[in-house]
Amino acid sequence: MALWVQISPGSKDPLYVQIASQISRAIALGHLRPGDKLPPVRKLAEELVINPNTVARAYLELEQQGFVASKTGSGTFVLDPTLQDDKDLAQLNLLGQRIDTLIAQGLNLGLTPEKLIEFFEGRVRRFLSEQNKRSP
Amino acid sequence: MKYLALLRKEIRECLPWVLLAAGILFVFGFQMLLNNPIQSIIFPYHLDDQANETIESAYLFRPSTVASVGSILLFISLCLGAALSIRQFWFPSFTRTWAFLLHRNITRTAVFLVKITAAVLGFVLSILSIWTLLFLYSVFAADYSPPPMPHVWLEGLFLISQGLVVYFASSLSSVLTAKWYTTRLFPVIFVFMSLYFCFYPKTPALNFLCTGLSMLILALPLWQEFRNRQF
Amino acid sequence: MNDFVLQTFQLTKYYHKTPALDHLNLCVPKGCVYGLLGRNGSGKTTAIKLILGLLAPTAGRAEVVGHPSDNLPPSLRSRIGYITEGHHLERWMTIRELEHFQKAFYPDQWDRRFFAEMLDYFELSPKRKIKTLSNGQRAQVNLALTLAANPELLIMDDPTLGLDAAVCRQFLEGMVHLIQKEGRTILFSSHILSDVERVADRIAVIDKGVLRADCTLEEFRMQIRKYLFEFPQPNIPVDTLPGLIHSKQNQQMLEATVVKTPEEAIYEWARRHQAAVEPVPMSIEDQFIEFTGPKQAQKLFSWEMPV
Repeated sequence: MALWVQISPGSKDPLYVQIASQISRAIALGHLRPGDKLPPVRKLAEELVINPNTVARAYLELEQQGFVASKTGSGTFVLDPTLQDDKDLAQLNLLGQRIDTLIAQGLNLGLTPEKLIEFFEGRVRRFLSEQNKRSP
Repeated sequence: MKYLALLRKEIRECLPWVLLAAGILFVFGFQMLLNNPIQSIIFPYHLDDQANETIESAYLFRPSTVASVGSILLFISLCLGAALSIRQFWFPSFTRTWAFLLHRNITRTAVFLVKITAAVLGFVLSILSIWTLLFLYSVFAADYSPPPMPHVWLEGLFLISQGLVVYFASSLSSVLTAKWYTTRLFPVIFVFMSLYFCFYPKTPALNFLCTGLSMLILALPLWQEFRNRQF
Repeated sequence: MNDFVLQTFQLTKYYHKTPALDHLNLCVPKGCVYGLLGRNGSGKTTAIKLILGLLAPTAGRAEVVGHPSDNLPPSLRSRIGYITEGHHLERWMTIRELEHFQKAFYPDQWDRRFFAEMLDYFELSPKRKIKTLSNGQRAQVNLALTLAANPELLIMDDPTLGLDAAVCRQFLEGMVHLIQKEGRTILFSSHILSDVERVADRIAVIDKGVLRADCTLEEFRMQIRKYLFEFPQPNIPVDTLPGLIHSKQNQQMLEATVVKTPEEAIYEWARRHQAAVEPVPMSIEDQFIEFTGPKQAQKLFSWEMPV
């Protein structure tokens, strides 16, 4: 399992956000496959030299977003990304709220709604092409 | 176990001074004994030749050769007392190791008692031993006439104990946190007065009683101050 | 018995007429890594010394595991590890002699192997005398001595002041190693904010003896935010911005830091004044500096986080 997490304390994102987003990115890019086990909280905390609670918080965040599921005693495992009913409705709502914030920011920058849509489409396309580049 | 470890540490720290005092006393003491078989006495208890038996027996001191060693004995004792108190009670402030010493599972009183024990042991094992050696030598090995009486050894013990009085006074002065020209001066003034009053009585019992009282008067506030001081 | 390992109640300390600490109320729960932040002279060291009973308070009191700080029983002290900056150890001792000395006080708790491993890791020979060690090496020995005694509560007062990055990292590793064990609590003050961010669960910010924030690290990070505004004209009603603690204005541009203000309120205010707004990312250092910032900011807003 090729999971490489890097953190930069003192940067603008809280540490648990950095960890969660790196892991979710790894999942999205296919570096972590469904069923893969995430490193134990203690081990990752020791490696990164951070509070284990921060790692736990990151894993919790990922679990709430539907990327992983934790089984007491065994560890935390990557979930199959295919949608599963109303749990994902909540996730979609959360995603929607996040997108709203981004929309507000975009509009405030002075972008017209059309330009904003164009901008979003471009980003999605770029993300997918990167995924294709890295994994077969 | 922890008390032993602490005692070992305190003794080890006092050792250089203790050995130095013992060494100086040994060298100069023997030198005086061997090279100066003089009858003069350097004490205020000087007896003139007309003193009769009754008066003599009331006095602690008798003219004897070994009494000439008394002056350096007193001087070294006083110096050792001062040195040990500085090492034990002032030096940690200088090296800022009080927190290291005191934040432990041991009461401050215990630390205090261990320090006192180490100091007393230092006196006993060095100066008192060398003095005893000098005394025994002058009684058995040297060729003095008349040989010194046993109570001259007591005289030496009395002089050595003055060193402990200075030890307590100097320690108290170190531990007090007042300005040097106020409360801190008290132990210094007291020790001068005490030295005078300790020498004043003419019977051994009273001499030692005065010395004991002086030590108590200094040791009790020292203990209190040490217990409560914020380091 | 509550779940707090450390508590202070209106803890106050005056040096002559100057308040070093002013009615400090702190609670450190068990199992927490609690970071004390503050500028130099803010009162962090005073607070720690009062908690450990090394200083007497002018008013108020502190308790450790329910015991009053001014009379901590010796048995409790054996469960508390204490490291301060300077790492002053007896200079004449060798590392081995120090180990024997320390071991005698913790006969049941001492982890001989761990101490040896740490010395190995630091590449320090037990035969070396403390006086031959550099500041960093002395700090390493102090860390090993303290952690090998397996403390339940570790209190550190700016242990990495003046030390290089490698030693700072080793202290962090030591802290992470300790937290992994059951029921350990750490209270530490540090001036390296990125280190605090790495290990702290909760932080308290003390400024001139007064507690200005006492919350989780996440709350602190989330609630102090900076925005860049561009107004149509230079006349900017800065004072009406809710939650403002710091601002910088350059003609029509305004950079403002706010505290505990919901994002919608910011955008609403910007809309009302026809300003463009953009969030500016802040590092924890930026947040700390502006939160404990110049006097003007404090006059505008005196803020305490909910516990």
